[in-house]
Amino acid sequence: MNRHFLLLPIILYTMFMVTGFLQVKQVTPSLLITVFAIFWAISAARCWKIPATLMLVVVFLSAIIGVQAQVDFGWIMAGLAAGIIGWDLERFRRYLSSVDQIKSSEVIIKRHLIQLFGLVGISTLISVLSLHVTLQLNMYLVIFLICAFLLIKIER
Amino acid sequence: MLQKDLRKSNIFQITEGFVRLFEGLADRLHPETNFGSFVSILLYLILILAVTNRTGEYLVLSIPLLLLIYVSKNSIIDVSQLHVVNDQEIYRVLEGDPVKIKCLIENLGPEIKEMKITKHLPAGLNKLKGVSSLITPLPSQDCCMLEYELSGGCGSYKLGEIEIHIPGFLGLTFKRKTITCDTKVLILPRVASKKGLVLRPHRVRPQTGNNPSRQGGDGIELFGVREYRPGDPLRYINGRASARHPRSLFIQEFERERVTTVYLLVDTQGRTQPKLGENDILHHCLEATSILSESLINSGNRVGLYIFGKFHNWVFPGSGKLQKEKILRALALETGNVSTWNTKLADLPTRFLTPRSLIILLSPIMGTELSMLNSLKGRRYQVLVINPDEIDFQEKKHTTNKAIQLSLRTAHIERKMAIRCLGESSIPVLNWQVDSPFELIASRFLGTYWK
Repeated sequence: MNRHFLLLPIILYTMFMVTGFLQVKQVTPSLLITVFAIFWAISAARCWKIPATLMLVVVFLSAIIGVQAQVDFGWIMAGLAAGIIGWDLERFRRYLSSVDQIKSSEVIIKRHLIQLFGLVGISTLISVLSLHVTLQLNMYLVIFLICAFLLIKIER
Repeated sequence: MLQKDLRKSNIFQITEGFVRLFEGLADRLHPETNFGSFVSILLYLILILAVTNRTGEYLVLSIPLLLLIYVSKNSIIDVSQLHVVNDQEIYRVLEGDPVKIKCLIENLGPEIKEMKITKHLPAGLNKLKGVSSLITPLPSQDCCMLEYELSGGCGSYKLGEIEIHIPGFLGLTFKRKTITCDTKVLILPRVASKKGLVLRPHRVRPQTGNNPSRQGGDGIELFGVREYRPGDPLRYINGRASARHPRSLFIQEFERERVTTVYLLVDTQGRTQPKLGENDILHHCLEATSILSESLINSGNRVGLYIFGKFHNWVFPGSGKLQKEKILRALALETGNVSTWNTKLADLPTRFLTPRSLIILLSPIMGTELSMLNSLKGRRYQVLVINPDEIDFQEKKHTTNKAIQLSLRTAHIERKMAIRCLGESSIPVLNWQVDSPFELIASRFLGTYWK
């Protein structure tokens, strides 16, 4: 997998997050995010063994701080999606580089990218829906849904 | 300029330090083992935050993580029907030659869309080339192969485990299977010499060999002249001696050449692991033993081996190619033969030894086995000690440290005293500087000393 391809989601994550924070005039978090993104980009380019979990923590931390600072949630969701993509691609690159040989690498990479973009797409869709659609449920329906969920679980 | 350079180098060093710290952390938080649980913890933290703050947006943040965990938990397949087969059960090579290993992985179960196969190499073996780890899809009833070459010091190694990871959705969770192989790699010491060694044993066996037996009979070397007896071959009549004595005939007699029984005793006391290399005196000791055994067996002798110390092994005397192989395998110091206690020369089962046979002790340590050697000598065994000079060997490695030099000088004196004691018991000692070729020194020593 091309190393420069990994930089794209990191740049997008920084762009979305910093724009969101600057809109509400929060300079310090945006500076910190920029510094973190530069560090992340360098570590990705130089193949440092920085734990990928660290990147995921910072991505979610910046999103939580964004929610607290009342940044527009669209920017946060976009930044989060880009961050998750960056984190996963970095992890996947390490996974691929840990072996001597990859057979039918194109198929494996393609399948992984489809899974990744599928997950990000579906989760963004659900998030957008949850922000804009309001459902009013009565108690009977809630109990029915919980029972159905439990039944499915027990059957498995 | 210099100050700037210094500052730059300091910054560089600090950055390097941080990177190493993170790399250490990365090794501990290995992605393949801890991601699933880590993402779960992150999800729970966000959910707790959402509940405590009563903010819907936090709940929305948890959706990607929730999806990730749910899908990955439900996407793992069964790996119980994977089988690993090696092309050989024991790989036997000589030191310096590469070990070519082929490992076949068969899938007798459902199709696996992606799997990672990692072969863990045993300590002491290095990979030269080839594929020892692989990511591949594996259809049902199909197989894939790992093919690689290893090299290492002489010894016996177990090939260890093959680890198979089958990743779930996005590789967040893995199904792991470890398959243990009983395959062994035997790296035997390489014997440089193929020449036969000539000994002067006290006692010989009836079979024809290369060693002069101090007895008259058929042979090449002239042994003496004696009076003719009826039945002696006429072609050996000595004309000159017979001319001096007109009424009698004299014939030439030759020295019989026979085989003998030799026991090689190898001292591995004070060793804890079989990791050998050029920097280890035991390596040289084993090399010398292999040269001796090869040469003595080539001369038709019966050779036995007794390894004592940390690595305990016993090979009964024998001759021929099979015996050579047995001795070389024993010299590979198999890890299975590690004793829980240090066996000593005193534990040598002397009842199994052929009476008045030749015993050659190869030991880098001097002075510890003196009483046993004297006891063997008293039981009329022929005893010879070959002593690789470990002190000289260590001295060449540590030349700078004064304290070490002083201790080495003391050890030198102790060693000389021990050699003198052996000399007083008329036990010959071959003082071998390991830099010099053993074959040459041994042939000179063994050929001349006994005359």
